[in-house]
Amino acid sequence: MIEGLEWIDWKLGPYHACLPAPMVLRLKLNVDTIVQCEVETGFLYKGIEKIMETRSWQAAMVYADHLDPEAAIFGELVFCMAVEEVMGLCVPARAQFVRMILAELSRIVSHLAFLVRIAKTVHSEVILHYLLRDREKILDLFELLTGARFSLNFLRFGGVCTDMTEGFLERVLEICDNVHIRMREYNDLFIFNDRFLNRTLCLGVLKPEWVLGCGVTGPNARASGFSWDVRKQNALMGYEMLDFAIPVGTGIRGFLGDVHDRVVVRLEEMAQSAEILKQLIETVPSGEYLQEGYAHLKSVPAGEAYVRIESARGVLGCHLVSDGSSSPLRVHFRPPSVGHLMVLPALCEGLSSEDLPLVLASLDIGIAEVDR
Amino acid sequence: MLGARFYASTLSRLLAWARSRSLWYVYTGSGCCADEVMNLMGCRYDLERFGCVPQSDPKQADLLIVSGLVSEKASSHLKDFYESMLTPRYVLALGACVNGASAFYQEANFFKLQKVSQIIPVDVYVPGCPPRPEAIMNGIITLQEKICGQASTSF
Amino acid sequence: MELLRFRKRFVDKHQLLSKIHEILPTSAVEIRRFGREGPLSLWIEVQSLLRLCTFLKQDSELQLDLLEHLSVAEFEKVLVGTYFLRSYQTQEQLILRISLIPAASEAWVEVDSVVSVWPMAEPMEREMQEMFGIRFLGLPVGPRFLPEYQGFVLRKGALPGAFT
Repeated sequence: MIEGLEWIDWKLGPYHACLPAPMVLRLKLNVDTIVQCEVETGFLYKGIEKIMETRSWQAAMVYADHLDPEAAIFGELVFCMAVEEVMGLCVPARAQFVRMILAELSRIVSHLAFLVRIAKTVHSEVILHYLLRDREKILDLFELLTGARFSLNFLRFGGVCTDMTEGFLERVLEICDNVHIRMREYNDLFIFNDRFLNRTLCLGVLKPEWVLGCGVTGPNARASGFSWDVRKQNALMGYEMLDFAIPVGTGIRGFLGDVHDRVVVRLEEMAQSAEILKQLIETVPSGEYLQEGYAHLKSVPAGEAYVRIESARGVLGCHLVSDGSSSPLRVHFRPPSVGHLMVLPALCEGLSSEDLPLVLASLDIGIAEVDR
Repeated sequence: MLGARFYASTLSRLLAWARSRSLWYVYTGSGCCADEVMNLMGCRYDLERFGCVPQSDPKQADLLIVSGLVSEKASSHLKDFYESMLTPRYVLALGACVNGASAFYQEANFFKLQKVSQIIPVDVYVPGCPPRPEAIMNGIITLQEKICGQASTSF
Repeated sequence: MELLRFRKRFVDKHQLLSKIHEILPTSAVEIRRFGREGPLSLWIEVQSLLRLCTFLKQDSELQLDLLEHLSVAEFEKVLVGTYFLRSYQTQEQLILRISLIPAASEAWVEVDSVVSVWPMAEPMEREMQEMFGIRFLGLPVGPRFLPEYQGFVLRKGALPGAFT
């Protein structure tokens, strides 16, 4: 960085290798230090909310699926829970159990995809294959249960679509048992490797006042020291009976809230998800998997609901308005990545342009949910 | 001694075979299908055994995999991206959104481009939402056969 | 920061109304429950939005400093804006609602922006500005979400095939 030099304008266009998805970053550089950054999104606009207003209630659920393609179940789950809240529907215990299993598996899948992107950014090809190998095993489980690898379309109002396949729970338990071995592999090869530590410590520090001011939630906020988790704060699905910890960034090796903290928090969350799955599988509730009579809804009574869940990226909310007709009046999702995008200009100031892809990947931004 | 006919046919067939077996690709990771392309890079559905190495720069790629939807706002950028690739270049359209048959089709929605073939010429279409990795590999094999079949005209 | 436990604590109705009545006598129009068993939903007048929001954030007991979600819906030609407020310290919740009536189906409506109170409102307001045609006074100018479309996408009158 040279004082007094004229700034260069650089537009990182929608299709670029260092961007996670189509978005435009307009940067002003001084030699190779970023001085200003402006974000523009809208390239993945699908009009999900408008389409949902023209479709029936069951069909609208399919569109909610495409909110966040990597973490498969969360979009569907939040929409389903909002409709059940409006109707006052009680979900049977067995269906709740299946939903929680799918949610925790989706969390693991999403965090593995996050690690894959980080590995691609630092060009560490070996760990890429290890991560994708483990991700494939969980996608096989999704296929065993629902028939699809992602965009599952498995939840129905009042429960889930079908009962669990035979052998599903045993395979989930296999994955949970292997988690510790996998974590050790990732740690040795990647996370606590000297080169990776040099690259990521003290980089891209997310300060607490930015977290409070921009509404950052999820693992990014937890890496900066805030112990917030909707699963503990607002237990809606049955998490209050489980015993799990919320990993919070410590910053003992670098600064609190740097890139390394964000990576480590997600790793620990995967381990906690495996713990939750093991505790769930110990007591499998029997009973119905679907509340009868609500699967083919002709109409939902007039009312409103706002439901928030802890998705893999942060707090995902859904504001649902119904006027008693056969399609939703208004569905509005509150994606967690909006806050992450808002904090990006502040985070990029003073950053070297070589470090930009890594900081961008460490925020786990999902443009599909921002653009909807 | 061997004459022009030998060079024009056998050599061009050899070049087309070589070109088809080393398609270096760049992908526009836009939608849900980008996840499947990422899965293809892994060790189970290995795309490298077809000779396809992922690239970041369009100037070093032969194949553009349009994975995910292309909206109206991004269409001119996609065209620029395609034009910046060096010939010979091929396009694989992945998924239902770019084939014109997705759930977000034009009648119910405003800003989706129906088909990506309206902006850039497409060689192979792979349908599915999202297509399974085996289907994408089938698409790559079809593209390889198509390139070999173009032997007499491409050189 | 230690773990923030959520108890179903909603802002007490009478306390809130009496406070608002002291500061801005004519602003609160109606108070109701949100949904089936949600927090309080307070309908207020549009002109007093900014002053009321400043007061709600700075009051030492309420301290509603997190704007979780800003959502707009159209009920029978009336645009209803909903502000979901929360407090970081006490975890209390409140919902503010305003109603805006556009003069015609393609006309703009104006309302004050709350960016000066809660900076996290900026991307949400920008999206609502383009989708519903609500001009937020005081919102900094930024890139448009969908630059080619003339009109307001999420209003009921917008026809699906209107773009081509």
